[in-house]
Amino acid sequence: MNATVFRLLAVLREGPRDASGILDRLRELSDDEPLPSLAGFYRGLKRAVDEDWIEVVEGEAEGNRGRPPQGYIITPGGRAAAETEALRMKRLAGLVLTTPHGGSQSGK
Amino acid sequence: MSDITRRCIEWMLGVALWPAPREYRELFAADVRSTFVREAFRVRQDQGRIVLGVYVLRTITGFFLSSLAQRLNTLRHPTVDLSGIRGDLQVAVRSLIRAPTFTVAVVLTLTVGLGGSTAILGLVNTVYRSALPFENGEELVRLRSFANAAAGQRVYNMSSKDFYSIRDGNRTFEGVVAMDGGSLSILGDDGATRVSAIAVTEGWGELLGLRPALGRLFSAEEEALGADARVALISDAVWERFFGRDPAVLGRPLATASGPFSIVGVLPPRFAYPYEAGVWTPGHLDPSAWQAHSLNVVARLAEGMTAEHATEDMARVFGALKQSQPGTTPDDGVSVVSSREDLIRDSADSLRGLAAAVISLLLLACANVANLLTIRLVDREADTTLRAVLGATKARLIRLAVVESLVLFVAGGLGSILLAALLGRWAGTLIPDVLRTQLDLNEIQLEPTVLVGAMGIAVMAGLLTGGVAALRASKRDLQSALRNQGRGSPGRATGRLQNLLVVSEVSLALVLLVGASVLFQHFQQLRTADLGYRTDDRMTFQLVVDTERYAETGARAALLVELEDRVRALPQVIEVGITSVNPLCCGDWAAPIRIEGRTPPADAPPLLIHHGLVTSTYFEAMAMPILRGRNFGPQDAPDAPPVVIVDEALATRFWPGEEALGKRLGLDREGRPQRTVVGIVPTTIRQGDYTESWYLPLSQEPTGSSAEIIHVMIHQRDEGALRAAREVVAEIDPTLAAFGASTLAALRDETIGQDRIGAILASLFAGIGLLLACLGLYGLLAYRVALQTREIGTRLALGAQASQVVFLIFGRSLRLLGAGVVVGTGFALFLNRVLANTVPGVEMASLRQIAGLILLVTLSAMLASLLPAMRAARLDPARTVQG
Repeated sequence: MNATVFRLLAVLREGPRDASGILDRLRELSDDEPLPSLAGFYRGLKRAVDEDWIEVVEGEAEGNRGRPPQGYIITPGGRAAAETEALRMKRLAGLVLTTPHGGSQSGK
Repeated sequence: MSDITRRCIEWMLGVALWPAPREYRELFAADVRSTFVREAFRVRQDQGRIVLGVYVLRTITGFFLSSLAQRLNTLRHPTVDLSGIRGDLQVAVRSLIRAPTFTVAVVLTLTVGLGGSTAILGLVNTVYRSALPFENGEELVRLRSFANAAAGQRVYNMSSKDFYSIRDGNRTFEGVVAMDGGSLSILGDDGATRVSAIAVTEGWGELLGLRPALGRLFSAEEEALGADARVALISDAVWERFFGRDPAVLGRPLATASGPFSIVGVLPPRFAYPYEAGVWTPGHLDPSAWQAHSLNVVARLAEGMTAEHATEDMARVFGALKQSQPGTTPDDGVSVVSSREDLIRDSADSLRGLAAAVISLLLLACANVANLLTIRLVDREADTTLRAVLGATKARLIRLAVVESLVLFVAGGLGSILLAALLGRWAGTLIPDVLRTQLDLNEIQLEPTVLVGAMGIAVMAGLLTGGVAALRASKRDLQSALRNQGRGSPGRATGRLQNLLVVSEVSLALVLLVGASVLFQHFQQLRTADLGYRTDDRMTFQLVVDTERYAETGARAALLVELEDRVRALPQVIEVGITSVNPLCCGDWAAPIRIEGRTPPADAPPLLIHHGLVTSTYFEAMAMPILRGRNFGPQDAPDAPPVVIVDEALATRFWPGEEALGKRLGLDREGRPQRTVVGIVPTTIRQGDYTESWYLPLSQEPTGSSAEIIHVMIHQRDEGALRAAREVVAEIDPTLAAFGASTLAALRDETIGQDRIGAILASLFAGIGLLLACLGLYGLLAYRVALQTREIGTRLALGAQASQVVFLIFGRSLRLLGAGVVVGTGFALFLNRVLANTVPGVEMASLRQIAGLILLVTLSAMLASLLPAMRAARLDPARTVQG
């Protein structure tokens, strides 16, 4: 799972959104981190759909040019995958953020 | 953001997403569009137009690359998409790959059929549509005299009298001009060079619509003076060779053996009409001369007139001439043909025959392919019915069949274009040299229209055959089709049509084989025939003897004697002889004769024979033995009694059963003496239309007669003979130009070159015809076996032997074959008769030949029937009966 897909799943864990909504939320959470390009964003969406981590849903309201807006919702499989990835990254992060001899860093 | 900007962005996005897999586009295209527009709007608002432009560009590029990457990924890991045309293509291609024999057979048939046709039709198209070397050339016609003979109509050049009568008396031409062919020896830095020179009558250049590249045409005063004007037009080739394209060539003298000419103009590049001319001069003709027929006459049709009008008018003019001045012409009339037909006349029949043969084969190839496709549909009936049962609609089934045949035909079409391009180069060698020069043709032009036409035929045929076959298949009741597989027969009409197709193919194959066989036999005969003279270790060159320069009495004879003696003395030479006509090249001479003591009826056509002037050593040099009587000798001086040597063919024709020696005959012209036959030589095979020949001693022909160009024939000891002989010629007279040097063996090969090509082509067509017939027969039998597997299985189950099944299949094949052979033999004999009548030397095929070819066709058909027969014999009775 790459960073783009992880971030997608992270946002959708909060609730279903359309693509623009996901991008807006990513901007809020970015902390000046660069966002993926739009092409990369949709590549991530496609990957997530292929892996059955998210589902594509059609909304009820009238959207652009009369087409109902397309939304995305995380699946239970997607939630589980996101959590697994998060734990994995936490373990990896721990390797870098703990002291060489195992204790945690403390201010003196 | 304006509406236009938004539309532009959406359009660009559409293009960028186009390479992406369909699944991706279906899932995200609309969403991408709306999100992109929204994001673009936000960027425009927050960061301005310039940043928007950069953003749009970057995003579009990103989507395009992403789409490509996804497409590549799909190709590496394909998934079968069975819906839509793309899916049909995938299914069709895989299916054809799984049936390599069928696919290769169909694609090859189409490639050869379409490709060969395209190349040959390109050749015909090139010849018939190439630009003529004249302005508005389609309005020009060639006029020639003709005489009706027992063997058919002979056409030839005109006399001056006929020319002037037509020029002054016609009502259908804007103008009429005449050209008299001859030659000049141009004196250059490297000695004398012979060039074809044409004397032309008033208004020649204007009538042909010529525009000199330099200078001008002849003036009226110069034309009135004729040859005395001493002016000339030269060709681009002469300008380059002798004047180095000097722009100041006008007014410079053209130095020739018969004096200088002042150059008034240079004609356009590649113009060399007629006879590959290099020099044109004004000519002056004697209006009363009616005996010599040497004029090439051309006319331009007046507005509103056609060649048919002109033909009627010529009949009127000529009829009036014959009535008012009887006995002044041996001709029967004037023929009028278009200038194009005249230029290609020797090749027109073969070109038309070629086109007809090619089109026939093309039609057969397509019909064969249609048959093979039908068989395939039957073979795949199980597959088709299964698809139908699984939910495929009729439309989808038809589409699958159409797409499959379309793939085959397009592959065949592409292959045919490649083959046509390759064949185009080879087919160019079929263009006769004279056409190459006259029409400036060097290679076949495969016009885009011909290629597009070939592909168009391929696509249309693919749609048609696939559609028709698929429609038939889709009409079958699926349930009963599944139940009744292998238990059927073709419909009556279909069955008859298929039988007719196979019988036609077998007949055509036999016709082509017989045609090829006789042409090949004719070619072999030409190659190995006893010509009546030897060509090994013999070589020849030509000289132009200027009759003005050697006008003094005896000067010409002395020249020939000195030439012969000095060349014979060369260590490289065994013997030398001189003749006015080379038997293997450069045209033929004919003379009308009358036999002493015989008065032919007034309306009898003239007795035309080959007319040759020779020195006494000619026969020795050519290894032609004097069979009876004697050779010419010193006693045959100019003032001695006129003598002649004739060949056996002439002696037998006019004095059958008698001794010809001592008999007398002469030229059928007023005032020409009767000559005594003093010797008989073998009949020779030579170019030209006349079988019988007579030979007159050069020493007895008066100066200024037909022997202006002479051929020196050398029996050489080694290859240095030509160079040594040329040096002798230059020593005797530096203005004498030796040209046209060649060995007689090479000339012989060249003479029969067209026959060789004809034989090769005929054999090629015959081979293709036989292959098509075998394919057709195989296809038909395979189809019938596939339809009747249940019946055959039942027979096997009831105790029939495999050999009986094989005989059953062979029996069907033999019945079709028999019908094809009977029809084919009839047509073959007819074609043979046509060939024998039109191609000199071609004989009727013998019974043994025809029997041998029938055996070949039979064996081929049996071979084609073997596979379906063996397949039928190997059927498992249990499985086929149970279905």
